[in-house]
Amino acid sequence: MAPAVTLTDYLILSGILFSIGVFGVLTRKNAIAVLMGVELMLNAANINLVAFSKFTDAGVVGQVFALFSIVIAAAEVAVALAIVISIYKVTRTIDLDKEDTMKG
Amino acid sequence: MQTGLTRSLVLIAPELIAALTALIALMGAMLTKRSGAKEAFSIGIIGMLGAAAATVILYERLTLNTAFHALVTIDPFSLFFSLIAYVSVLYVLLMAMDSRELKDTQGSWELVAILSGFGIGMSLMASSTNLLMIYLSMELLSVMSYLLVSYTRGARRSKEAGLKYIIYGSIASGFMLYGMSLLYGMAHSLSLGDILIAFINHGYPRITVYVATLFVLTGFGFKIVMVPMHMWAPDVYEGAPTPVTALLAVASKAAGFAVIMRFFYTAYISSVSVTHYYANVSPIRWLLIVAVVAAFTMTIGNIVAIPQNNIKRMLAYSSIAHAGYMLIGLSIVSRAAVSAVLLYLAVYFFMNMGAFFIVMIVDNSIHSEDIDHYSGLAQVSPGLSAAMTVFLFSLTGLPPFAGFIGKVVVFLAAIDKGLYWLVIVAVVNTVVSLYYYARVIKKMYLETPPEGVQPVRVGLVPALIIISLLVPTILFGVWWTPLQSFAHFSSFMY
Amino acid sequence: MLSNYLLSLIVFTPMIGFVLILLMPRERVTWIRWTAAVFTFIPMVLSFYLYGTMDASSAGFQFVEKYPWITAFNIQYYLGADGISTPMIVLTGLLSFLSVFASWNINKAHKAYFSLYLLLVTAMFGVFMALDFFLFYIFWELMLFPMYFLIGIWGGPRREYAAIKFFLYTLAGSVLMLVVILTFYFNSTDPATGSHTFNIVTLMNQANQGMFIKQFWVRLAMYVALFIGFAIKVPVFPFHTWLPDAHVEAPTAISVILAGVLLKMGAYGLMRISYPLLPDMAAYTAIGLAILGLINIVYGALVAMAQTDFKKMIAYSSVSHMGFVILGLASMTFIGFNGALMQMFNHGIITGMLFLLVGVIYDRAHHRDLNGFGGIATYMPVYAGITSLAFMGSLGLPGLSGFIGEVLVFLGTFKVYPVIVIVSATGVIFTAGYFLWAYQRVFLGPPNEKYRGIARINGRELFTLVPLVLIALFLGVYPMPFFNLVGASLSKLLMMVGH
Repeated sequence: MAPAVTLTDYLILSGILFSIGVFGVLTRKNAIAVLMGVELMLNAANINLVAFSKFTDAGVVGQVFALFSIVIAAAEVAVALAIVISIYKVTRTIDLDKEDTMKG
Repeated sequence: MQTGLTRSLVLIAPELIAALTALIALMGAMLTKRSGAKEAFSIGIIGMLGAAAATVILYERLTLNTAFHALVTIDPFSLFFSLIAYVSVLYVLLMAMDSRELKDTQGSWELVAILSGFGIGMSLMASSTNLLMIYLSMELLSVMSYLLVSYTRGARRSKEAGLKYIIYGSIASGFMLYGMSLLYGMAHSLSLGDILIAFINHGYPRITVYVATLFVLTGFGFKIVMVPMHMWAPDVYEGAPTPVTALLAVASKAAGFAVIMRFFYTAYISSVSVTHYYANVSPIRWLLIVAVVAAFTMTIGNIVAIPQNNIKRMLAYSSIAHAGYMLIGLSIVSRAAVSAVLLYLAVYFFMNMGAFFIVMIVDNSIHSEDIDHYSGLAQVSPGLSAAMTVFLFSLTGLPPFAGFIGKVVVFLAAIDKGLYWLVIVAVVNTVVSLYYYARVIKKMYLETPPEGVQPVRVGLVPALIIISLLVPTILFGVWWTPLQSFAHFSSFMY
Repeated sequence: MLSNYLLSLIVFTPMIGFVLILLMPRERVTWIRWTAAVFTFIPMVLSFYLYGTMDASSAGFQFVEKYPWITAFNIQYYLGADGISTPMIVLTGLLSFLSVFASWNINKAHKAYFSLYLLLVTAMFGVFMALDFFLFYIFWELMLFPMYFLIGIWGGPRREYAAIKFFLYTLAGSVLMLVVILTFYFNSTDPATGSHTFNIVTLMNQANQGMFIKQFWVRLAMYVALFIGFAIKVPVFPFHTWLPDAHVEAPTAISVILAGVLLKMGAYGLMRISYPLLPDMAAYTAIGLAILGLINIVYGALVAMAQTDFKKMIAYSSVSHMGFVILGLASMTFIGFNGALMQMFNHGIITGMLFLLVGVIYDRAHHRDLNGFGGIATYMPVYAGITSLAFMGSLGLPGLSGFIGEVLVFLGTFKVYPVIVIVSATGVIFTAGYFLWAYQRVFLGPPNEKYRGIARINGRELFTLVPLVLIALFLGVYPMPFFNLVGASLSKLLMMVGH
């Protein structure tokens, strides 16, 4: 029989996902890619929440929180993409390094 | 203490009024063909006045505290911030009516709706005593802010500012969510009070507590523009339309402080009695860390402000510095410290709003935010320059203006607990800040205006608005007992 | 009845003028000027009345007004006058009135100038009268931004630089003072209420000071911090570098106020606050203070000798003369204190005169180059006469008031630091040197053709100078009224520092 999946495994998974997300955010130049990194971070946290809710006696609030978080993440990304599109209309690029005109 | 549904609804009456305003605005957007600026703003202003009035009424008659199964707590502390929220939005609406940058947009109704949403978000942030609620209200505030920053018709830097803001902001909120998930995992509950009990009763691995708190603090710190989460502020403040900058500088920052204070005082500090707070739960010397962060924040803010040529950018860095001064209040655990931060925020509202308002009016007239273009303003528009001078001297922290009082009460709280080094850093920073504030004043008064400069036209309503911000700035510098009582009473968190 | 409100009246009458001027249309220059004159005349007269009705035999504070102001922090509106502050109050009243007439030539933005001027006058009176530390600090800081504008807008070619230098320097000193004030607050106990207090009089009683500030190093740090704040104002070497720029660039009347009144505040601060609140530290650092006084006297005189700008020479002579005050305070003797306070008053009168005189010639010649004149005495005899009197007073000729102050400082200090006195005496020689040399260059010798048609001194200018001349003469011959006034309070101060 396969060993049971424990809480620790989920935590490790979410930790890895979070790190990948952070890495993506820090290193990618493409705005969409950065947003993907952010999504990874948020979902890593969601995994945490659901895992804690399932494996401990923390109640069902964790899963509730995760649901809310998914919705909000979706809204945030929608707004982000809207802004990206509007800036694309003006500058024809979504390269973040090129969109740093304000200095000081 | 649980409360019934009706009671809960009554307690969030101001938010309901603001929500109603937002709904009406959205309906207005859908139903009317024209942009209908005047009607939209009027609805907005009435709505915010109503919400503010409801806040004041609640403040007077407050008896019960928690609402909605302890998700939210309505106490003097939260009502203080609700008041700042709705009054800030009110002033921003008034500013937006005159703003050149926002005039071009079609969506006045939507603007009112977004601003009302912002107000609700801020108000709820100050009342939240549950991680979920904190997250929700903070995201509400944030998403509204992201929209507001980009809310112009094709101004490139505004879109760029919006993009930077949302990227930085969502990263910060990602960190915050992860930290919250860890806290949830440890305490097995989302309620801040339960987290405190869990901390007291269990010994958690220090690293986990550390990581979780630090991540959550990253999210909050972003909002209050704390170093090292401050990099977004100058670009965003410069790029956003000036009324939005004012809103971010004052209200968004206040909301951040509210949530930090609520979070730390409720979840990390056990109060033994109503009048004494003891920081004992966490093994890490948070206070020292906050004090060091405060010192860095004010120093970096002040020093980088010096070479700025764009006045909005300069004010952005100055607001980073002010966050540093307020953080001093957070590095002490006492009622006096909370009261000091509240008083500082109130005073900061007046002077910062005033400064940004004048920046906007000048920009409307000369189409520039460059400090060099303020040359000789005093000879051309003496009243406006005098008002700006008062605001800038108040921001420096000179008597007899209110800014001095804000600093004094924070210093008082700090010296009471022996944080002499931090106060000395703060006073040195005050002298440094004089240099860049005085540079603007010097340009206005000591230089001659370029040829053909017209006086800045100030309509009656903007003049009244400036006066309504100017009078408290001067008055509270001399007679600040009412403000002190208000702040002191509002430092009660149930 | 009047005595209940006398001090508040003196402080706030100029404020009434301030508000009135703000309401006037800016074209009404005559109205503005005369309003300023009236609203400095009234406080001046009231200050004379104060002097007249002061009970000289009592060492304590009179005409006390004490009301609660910010109760949450036990801050009071607390004014009082004693033998130490009364001469300063009279000096402020007199000089601020006369300087209004020296400001008659201001040619732009009169409304702004005179309103800021009156605000400055209010602040100056307030500093000398405040007995609540917080109130003291507010008045002290209130002086800063009017001075910034007064120098920066109506000053000479380098006025912006001088103004911001003044502002930054003085602010730096003041904020150090703020930290000390707050430290005192939290380590004090008001015997009546048991709570913390800002009350200076309460703090003078060492028993009311808390345990924390009884420690040596804490006290020393506080004393030094306060000293730096006051030393910048005096100015004490090496914190004096703002002074020459500020004086040279400021318009005449502001130079008079700056030299005549503002510089005294540093010394006043030492006497009112540093010495009574931290007497052990005062005694401990007295030798250092004496040495600094010596440096001021000699260094100031030497640098003054090297100047070619008339006003800059007088500015450095100010540094030099304030050195006497510092020396007298460092002596910790009754005679020395009397000399110091007298020198403070005299310096105000005489240096005020000197700056007014520079203003007279500058208005006519539009330069202050000492080498650019010559034989002016032929063209302006009255002016030359008054200037000679002012120079003689400043270098300490017996018969004029300056002598009394300097001699008493030397007498008092000689008992304690004889070597320092001997070295300082060389400063007196240098002072005589540069003043006489300057006089010779400007007034004597072959008349400079360029100034043949130069206007004689006029009535308005005489009006500003004559009162000062008379006082210098009177006190030079009969200084007893002064000593009778200050004696009791100075004895009390001496007792507090333990001698």
